[in-house]
Amino acid sequence: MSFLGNQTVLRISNIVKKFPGVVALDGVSLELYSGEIRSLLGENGSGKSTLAKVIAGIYSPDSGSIEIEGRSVRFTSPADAIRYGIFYIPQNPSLIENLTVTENILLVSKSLGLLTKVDKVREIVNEEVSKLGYQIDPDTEVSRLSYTQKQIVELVKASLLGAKILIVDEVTTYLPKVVRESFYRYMRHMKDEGRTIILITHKISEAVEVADRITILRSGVVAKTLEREEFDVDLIRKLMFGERALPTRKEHLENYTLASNRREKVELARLDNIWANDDSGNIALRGLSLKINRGEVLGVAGISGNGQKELAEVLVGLRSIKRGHYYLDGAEVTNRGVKAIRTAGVGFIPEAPLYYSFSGDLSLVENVAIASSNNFLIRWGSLATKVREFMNIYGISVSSPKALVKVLSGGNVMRLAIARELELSKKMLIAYNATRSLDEMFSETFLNTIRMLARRDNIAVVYISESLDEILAVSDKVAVISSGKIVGLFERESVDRETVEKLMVM
Amino acid sequence: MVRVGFVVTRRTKQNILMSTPVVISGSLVLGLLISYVIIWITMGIDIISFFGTFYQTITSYTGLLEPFVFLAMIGTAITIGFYGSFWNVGAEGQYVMGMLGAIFLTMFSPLNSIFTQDNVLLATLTKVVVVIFGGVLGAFWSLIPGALKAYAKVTEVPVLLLMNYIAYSISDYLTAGPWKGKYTYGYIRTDQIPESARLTTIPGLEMLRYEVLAAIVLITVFAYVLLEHTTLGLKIKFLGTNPVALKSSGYDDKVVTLLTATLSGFIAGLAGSLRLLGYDFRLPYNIGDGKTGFYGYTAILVAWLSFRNIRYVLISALIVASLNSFGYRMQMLLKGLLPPGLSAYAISLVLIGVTLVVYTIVRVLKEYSIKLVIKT
Amino acid sequence: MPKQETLYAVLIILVIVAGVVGYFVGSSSVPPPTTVTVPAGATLTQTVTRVSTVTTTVAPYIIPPEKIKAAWIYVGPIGDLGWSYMHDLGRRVVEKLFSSWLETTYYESVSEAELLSRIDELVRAGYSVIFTTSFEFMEKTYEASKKYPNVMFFHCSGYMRRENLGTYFADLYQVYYLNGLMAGALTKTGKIGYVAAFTIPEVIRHINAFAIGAKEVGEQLGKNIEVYVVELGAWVAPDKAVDAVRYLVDVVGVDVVAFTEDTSAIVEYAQDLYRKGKQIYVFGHYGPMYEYGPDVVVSGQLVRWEVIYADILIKIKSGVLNPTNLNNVDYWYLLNSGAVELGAHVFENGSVMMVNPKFVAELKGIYVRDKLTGEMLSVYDLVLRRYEQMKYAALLLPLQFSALTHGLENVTYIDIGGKEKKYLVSAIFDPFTGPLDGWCLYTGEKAFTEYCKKATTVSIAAGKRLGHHDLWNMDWFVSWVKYLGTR
Repeated sequence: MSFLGNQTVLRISNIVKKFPGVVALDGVSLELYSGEIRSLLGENGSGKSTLAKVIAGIYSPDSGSIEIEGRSVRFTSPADAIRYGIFYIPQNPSLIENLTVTENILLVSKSLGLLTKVDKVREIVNEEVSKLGYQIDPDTEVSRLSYTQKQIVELVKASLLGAKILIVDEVTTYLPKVVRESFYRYMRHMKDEGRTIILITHKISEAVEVADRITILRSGVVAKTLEREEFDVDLIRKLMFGERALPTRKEHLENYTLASNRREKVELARLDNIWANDDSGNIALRGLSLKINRGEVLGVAGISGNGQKELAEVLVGLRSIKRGHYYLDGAEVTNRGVKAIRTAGVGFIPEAPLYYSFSGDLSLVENVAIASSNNFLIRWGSLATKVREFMNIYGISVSSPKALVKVLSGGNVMRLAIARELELSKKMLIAYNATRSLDEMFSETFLNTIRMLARRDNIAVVYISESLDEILAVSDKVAVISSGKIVGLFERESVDRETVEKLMVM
Repeated sequence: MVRVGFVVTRRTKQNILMSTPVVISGSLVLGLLISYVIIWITMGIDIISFFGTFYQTITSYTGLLEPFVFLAMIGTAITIGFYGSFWNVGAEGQYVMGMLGAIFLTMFSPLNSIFTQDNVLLATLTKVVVVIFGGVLGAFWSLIPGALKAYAKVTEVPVLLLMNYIAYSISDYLTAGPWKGKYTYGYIRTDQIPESARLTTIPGLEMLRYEVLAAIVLITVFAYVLLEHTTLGLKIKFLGTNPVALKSSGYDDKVVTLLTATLSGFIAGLAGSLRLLGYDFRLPYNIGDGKTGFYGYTAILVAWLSFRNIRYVLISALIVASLNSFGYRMQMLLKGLLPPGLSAYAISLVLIGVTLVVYTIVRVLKEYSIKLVIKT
Repeated sequence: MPKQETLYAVLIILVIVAGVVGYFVGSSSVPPPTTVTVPAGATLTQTVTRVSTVTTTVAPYIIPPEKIKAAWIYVGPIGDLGWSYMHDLGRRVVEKLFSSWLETTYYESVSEAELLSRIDELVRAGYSVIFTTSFEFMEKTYEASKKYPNVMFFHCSGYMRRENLGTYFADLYQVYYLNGLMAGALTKTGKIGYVAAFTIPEVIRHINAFAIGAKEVGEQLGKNIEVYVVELGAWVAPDKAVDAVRYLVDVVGVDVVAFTEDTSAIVEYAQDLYRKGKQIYVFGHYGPMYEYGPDVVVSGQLVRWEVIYADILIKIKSGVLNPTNLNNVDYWYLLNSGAVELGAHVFENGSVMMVNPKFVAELKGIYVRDKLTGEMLSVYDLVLRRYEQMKYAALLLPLQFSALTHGLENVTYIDIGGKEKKYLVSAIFDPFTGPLDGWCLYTGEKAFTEYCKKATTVSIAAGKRLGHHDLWNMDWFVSWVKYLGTR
């Protein structure tokens, strides 16, 4: 363990940032020290991402000040922040897809007048990557890298370019345990070099595992900053969620599992030897077959990029099937379009609702209407009432049903998607990385709801996720997907974590 | 080292001074002031006659009504397209097709005989058919780029522009060839449509026709109800903002694209057939040479000014129409001062251009606040 | 917030509607502007009370206006040297000349579709004499004259008239004939080109006159004269015009070009060819185009609309013309009136250069016979002789003012008895005198003349001079004109 708190690197005072209808940050003050890993923890909409973006120069605060090493600064763009050594690694990698790893790094380093030689960069990249215990060819095009690999390149890039403060925004949330650990190792290594790392997460376990200090944000203000020796999961949860804090996961889930299982298996949908391409025309699903039963949660586990996205899209009808058959509720729906599947009572909760489900430029009520209004004339009154109910039940904080979806925080968008789609899931629900931007508490509620749907309403759930923890927690049956095929299928009773992890990376 | 930067932030509070109607009318005033300065510098017109002329323009309903109704109709057509990201720069061609449809039915089809009889009721009903047929041709003209966009992923803008020229050429071919008139004294143009096929002038409002008035009311109400109260309108809005969300809600984005194109073209076509029956009565040769008044192009500015908001189309059309006829009226003021080669149309363009630039800047300022930061 | 916005929108629209309605109500109680002053006691049926049932047979007593506000509406831009430019020149002349009582304005580049709006604006601004200067404006001007019975309209080149709508025209056919004489002398190939805006009677007349002149000279010099016509379908179309000339020169092989198009594009193109070593001869049209092609312009046609405008305005000012008596006002001014001129250049002192000095020597060196007298003279002298013959027609001018007397324009002599016996009425010479053979461009129900309604060819007997009606409706080409269609 290195010496902590030797020097204040960054001091922010009284930062206020408002968005239409929402106060995201309401006077946040914070000090960061050199050579520490600081975790910013908070539930959805607590302001942690906004704070990170203010530090990174992406947002400019309405008021308040930022000091770096004692000097007051004012960023007008991310480039300004980079000049002060502040790097932001977003959830979605921002590398240029059709350049190689080396070129991507050169692009930024040249503009900073640092490294300009191709060979030198290539050498350093190799060296740094190997520190992570990873292999990435510096001459590969970024588009060929996996999500994890891309994020590693981002880290390496920041480190090479002399990052003093590194902001890692929800990057590690879904990484497999092994990879996550090597990530942590690299972060600790950077910390030992005297750099500061801000780790943004909504997973308490992750923060506890790696951080030196945890700063908990709640409703746009700092609830508390905890030193390592003060770490306590229950305390943290209380600070994050206040009185709404729930009992821990296990006992809660057990309630449902008890009443489960002993039900006759009735098939609702079946995929037969499905072949499909991804967006760039490469084969993504290679003869995938799957049976989906009523009243059963079928978890699909796998490492990102193994065909999960395409599987979800095939199930909802968005992606055309090249070969194979898809039966739903006794009828063949192969390439019959989304409508045939949706009207059969299928809900779809995707990982990026603003891409798949909603139009950010339209209002909440319009976004609900598009999926549920069947008449020629829309009855706005009753829809608005419905949206208000959604807002109450799911805790969506926004001024009115007529507010635009784009003003919602990521978590609130997901809640709205869940609200809308659960209602549409009369027979089947397809969830794809649905909890990615949800905080722990709401994730819990959501997982419970899913189980309840299956148990009580006899609905089939396909739960596709990159988080094995969640899959193990929620599924009646676990399928493992790898390279576009199902490589393993386990009943809940017989599932074994190690076997699954092995199959995932096979 | 001193560096200058701009801090751009999205506004959180909606200032009442920044509400859309205020933005539109404010831009108009500011645009006029700037235009005045330009005209004053180049030609030295005093401010009283400048704004006096503007006042005369906006209070003279006769000169204003006619461009207003056509800009409003076509502006509505284009705005519907804009809602669905169907950038209908082809309204001009659809308008011409509407004219062709109208003259075809009234002069060169069996329906012609109806207008030579004395049956007023029958003639009136036939006129409705003729007007709608113009709309249908306009819709067809818009459907071609629409279908190419939906099924072949061809960007619609260049196709639409091209379709304008094809429409001009078809019109010129017919006017110089099979449709060339008998009573044109050697000129290349069609004959005029029969008296009984023409629309009825409203006494006291000579530049308006009863049928045109009815059409503008119907079209406005239709567009408003469509976009604000129907599922189809909602689908068009989704098509324009996130077609994937439209698809995953179970709708075919291709079909909605086609419908958007059809509706947009239909209304532009209606404007064309109404124009022919109510005002022009015949097709001229070289129709692309400004003989359409370029309403189809000018109306793009109307749609831009109302920016995907059907509620502001009428007021935008009024503004563009005012600036347009203000430009013409300026000629009387500027007589002899205009440099050779500069016509009234140029003055209109200066007025419209300056106002739209101001409007665009004000719109940005409405959404974002921009602060200047000087760093040392 | 949206609610508030809607409220604002509604408010603004209401204010506008209120304004418009208010204005409408206000203006309907104000009588429209009028040039006619009616003294107390007298009644004028055309004034404010449109539904007046009291019709009086007492002729209204009309006081001529103190001041006149006159407006011109042009179809094209006034920047080019063609049609609209020359009309505007006329306007500028009368505006200056009559500055003590005349105020003028104009609209340029007005399309037929916009005409009524523009007229509305002018009337509203108090203009009571309106000149519309394009054939295309005819029907709409007629409509406007019905709408504004107290405003005087004058339409150039049309034939529809009312009590407050007169017509006027200054025709160039005699000048084209003179141009043709020179063309026949200068052409080497015998092939002559003509770029026509439209094949309307006016232009057909010009082409025929030009062709008649060319043949009169060319035939005597042993050339087989043929005139090739390309139609543009537009008055202002510089690009198309140049394309047409290029076709005529490169493909057909013409070396002389005359045209009816309202820009100097053809002249500039010919000058350009000259610089590249190819000499073709052109004739300027309408405006003084010599300066654009000093090496290629032989002569041309000029117009002086101010002659007609001055006449009209003086007659309005002096009470001769008023909104009740324009039914037969139909100016048809030829070379004798001074409203048209031979030439392509006006010197600083105001005199006209009839023939480009560069070509004078050549024209003076070519000898032909005058077909009227049989004597030999140079082409240059023939041109001057014919010019004078047509220019001198003193009695013609009053006949050219009214539709009632147009029928007398082709009367060469009348017998008044006594010592004078043979009295010269019109010009001694006119190009449209038989024998002439031609073919009909328009036939059957599309034709305008009796000749072409009945047959496809035209034959004018020797010695017969065509009358106003024949000239005005000309729908046939003389036999050596070849029509190449629209390009």
